[in-house]
Amino acid sequence: MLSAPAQGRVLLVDDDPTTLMLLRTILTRGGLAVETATDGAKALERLRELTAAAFDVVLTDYRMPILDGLQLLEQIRLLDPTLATIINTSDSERTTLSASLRGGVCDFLEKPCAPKVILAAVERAVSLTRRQRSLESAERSLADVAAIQQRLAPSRLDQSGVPGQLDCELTTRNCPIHEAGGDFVSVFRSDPGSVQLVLGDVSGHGVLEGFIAAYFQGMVKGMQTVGVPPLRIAEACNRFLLVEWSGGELSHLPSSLSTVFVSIDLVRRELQVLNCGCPAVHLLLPGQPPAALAGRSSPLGWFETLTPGVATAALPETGSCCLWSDGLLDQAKQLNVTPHAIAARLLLTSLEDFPALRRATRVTDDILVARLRWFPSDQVRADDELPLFHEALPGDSGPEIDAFQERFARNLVHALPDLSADCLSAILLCAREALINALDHGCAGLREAVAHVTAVFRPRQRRVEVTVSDPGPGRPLVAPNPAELPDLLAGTGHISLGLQVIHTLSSATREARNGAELTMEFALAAA
Amino acid sequence: MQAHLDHGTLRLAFAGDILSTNVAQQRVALLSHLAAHPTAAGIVADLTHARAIDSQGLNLLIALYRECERRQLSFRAENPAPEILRLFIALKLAERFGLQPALASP
Repeated sequence: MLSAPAQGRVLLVDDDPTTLMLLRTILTRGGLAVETATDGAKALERLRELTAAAFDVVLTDYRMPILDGLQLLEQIRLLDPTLATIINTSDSERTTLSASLRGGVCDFLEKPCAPKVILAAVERAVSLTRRQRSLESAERSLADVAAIQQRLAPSRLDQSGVPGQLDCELTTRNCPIHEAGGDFVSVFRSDPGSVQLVLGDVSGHGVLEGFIAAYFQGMVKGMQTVGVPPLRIAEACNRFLLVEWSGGELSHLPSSLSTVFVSIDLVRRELQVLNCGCPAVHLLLPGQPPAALAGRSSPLGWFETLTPGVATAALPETGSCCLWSDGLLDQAKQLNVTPHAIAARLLLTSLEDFPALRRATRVTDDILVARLRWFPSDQVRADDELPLFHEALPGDSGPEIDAFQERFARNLVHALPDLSADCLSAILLCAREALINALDHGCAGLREAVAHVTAVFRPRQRRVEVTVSDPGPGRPLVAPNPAELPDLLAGTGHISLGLQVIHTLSSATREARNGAELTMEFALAAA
Repeated sequence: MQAHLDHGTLRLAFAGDILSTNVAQQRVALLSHLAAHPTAAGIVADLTHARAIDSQGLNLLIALYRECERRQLSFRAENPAPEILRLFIALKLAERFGLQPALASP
């Protein structure tokens, strides 16, 4: 094995013994460790025997028997693409080689060559090899960290519910800027009746933050295991960040941790949220618009006194809650869509397809989204609905309905990229008709009256449902009477043509509150 | 909306979508063009530039169709976008609007 002097280790290849001896002398006097081979095949043999990593540079003649310099270079690329190669040529050969090598070679030396020039070229090549190897090693480490982070982010929760009670299911997707990032999620099930979900977001988004996130994830999990309540865990992390991490001195890197705890008691059917700096948790109950719980508060690591956001909600038989890190809000703003559309897109992408989506998604901050769904324990395959869009519109929004339609379309297309043009067009037109009716009749055009448009996706049925509701008393929905068809001279009076459009283009409709709430279903083509 | 007489037929070219937000202006323009060309023997609604029509837009076209019936003028719609044609077919308007049966069949 070659020793590794700071100047580098060279594999010198030339079929001319005189040149070989001359170059060896120059390189050795230059402080380099040198191995020699008299043709390309023997050089390859040495590389395989000692491994390519034993060398920092290969300096080879071009014209050689058995395996020439170019063929040797091709083999070296296969063995170790980080190993720099210099080809020693005559001037005429160099022109030919330059065109054919396409940058696969580090440098050329023209025969005859001064010792100073040879040593300078070798020094540059050694430096390049070491830089490339260092980069490759860092990339490997980062990939290892990322693999650990992905493994630590639970993508599912084992079902172990009590028969006759509720059980739950967890879905998470982690989309860091780099391979590894500062967001983490941890789930802990102390017994079949209770689940605690923690989402954390360390300030910054690099490998260092990945390390800090892993540290806190371990700390939180440890405390959860011994039954420490969320508030005490938050206080302990806050104290650690303020006292031990930075020691309160600016000379140490300050760090903060935004975290939200969601505790679900499946027996008492209660959900509790404790939020320190994360976006609000969204409670998603069937047939209701998403409800934001426990909004903004300070993250851990800022102040000695904690002022967390807290909320409690009763759990109906089925429902879900969605948590996300700040990065998701940033991306929603950037793409001009709602956070629900971003969350739906991520959560609906299968784990197999997720790496491709991650590569295609340009994010400016780490994104983590987690969704916890609960249902009766004997209905694991129970119906599910994922919110895509929700908007509340004042009753006087009629003139802005085109802008609403654009927003609605943008969100649907983002959340469901495989939505066909036909289906999208039908959804948009039906929603528009229902909304016009809600604004004009249910809200009577009054600003203080509010109409709601909510769209959800039912993954199992591959169905989009759009619900439009208004605060009005409703009115019987009847098909148009031909006798009431509009008269151009009298103006375009309101007939229920809109309702006919809805019935024609949607797969099915449901009404509630005497028609003041209309749900339209749209079946998507099979995936 | 642009209008011109073409061999006795009044061609009305809608400039864009026909929606609740612009149907009032479109109606005023329609009435004005009808009044300006009292001798037209028929009406063609050119929908080349419309990508979407909602129920109030449909109402306007139906009203125009009925007005033509009342005045005993021919009426047809031309160049509807595929989404609009599908809507006409679904609402059984395609034939009334003089669209080719081959086009109108689903």
